[in-house]
Amino acid sequence: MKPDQPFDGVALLNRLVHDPARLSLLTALSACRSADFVYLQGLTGLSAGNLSANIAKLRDAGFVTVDKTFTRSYPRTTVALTKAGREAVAAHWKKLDQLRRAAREWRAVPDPKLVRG
Amino acid sequence: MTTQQDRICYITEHYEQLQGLRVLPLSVPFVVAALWNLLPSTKPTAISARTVELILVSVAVAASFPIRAYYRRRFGRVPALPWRSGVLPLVGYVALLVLAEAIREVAAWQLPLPLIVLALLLVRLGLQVGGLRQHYVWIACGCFVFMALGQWSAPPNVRAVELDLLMAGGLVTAAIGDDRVLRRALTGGYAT
Repeated sequence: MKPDQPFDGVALLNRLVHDPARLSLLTALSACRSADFVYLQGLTGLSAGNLSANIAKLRDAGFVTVDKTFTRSYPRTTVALTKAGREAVAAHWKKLDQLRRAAREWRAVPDPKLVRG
Repeated sequence: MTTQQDRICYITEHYEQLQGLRVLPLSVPFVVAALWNLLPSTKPTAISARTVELILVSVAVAASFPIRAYYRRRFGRVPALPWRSGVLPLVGYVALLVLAEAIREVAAWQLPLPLIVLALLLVRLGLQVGGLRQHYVWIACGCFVFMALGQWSAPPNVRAVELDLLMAGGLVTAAIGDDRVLRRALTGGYAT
């Protein structure tokens, strides 16, 4: 990334992680060993179908594992972050911090061709 | 991290501690102890105040288990990371309070140093993550009021009642406040 164009880095962000719903899911999962589906649904406010779709995308990318069990004949779905998922979240936050820092230090340089008079 | 992501992280990390209603029954022994001290009784009782207190604390601890089960049923299970279970900070805070009491005794200070340390820890807790658990600041205020009342040299039994009421009030405030924080987080939806 060129130092005078920090915003170009935004395009290099991992879209799979950067999506608000998935980022919230990954952030929550990075703060615990595992979490029940019902907890993630409450925390993110997503519908069951939407949450399932997002979890499926993360599972397909190898970022989370999904465990389906029965507790007293009630189905229970538990989601946990994998090592790759944990690394992806950490790398994503590092990248965002770098972008934020670069954006703060960035100063617009006027293009001589566009400056009149 | 952004404030929203910070909150998500904090709520998930402190999920077990935010199950406030679990500590609510613990306030009952303190209310009973305050009433016991308030009501003058000349008759000898069959059981001592200490025994009653012990029974009530045991019942309160036992009552916390069905409340935990309710939280699990309602909001699910979230096992904490081994190094973030909250045990280490708790041990650290207790050690700090013990140290504060030791310093107070060695220096022979009148100042209730452990209570000041506790109040400061509560203020710190209340101001974390943009004041998410700001009800702890009110509990800290209660501690400072208790300290201020101590300047009036009230009789020991009155101070005991004040302390019991402070403990009961603190536990009720913490219980309801934490429960509200958790309920708001898990019914509001942070990602939408």
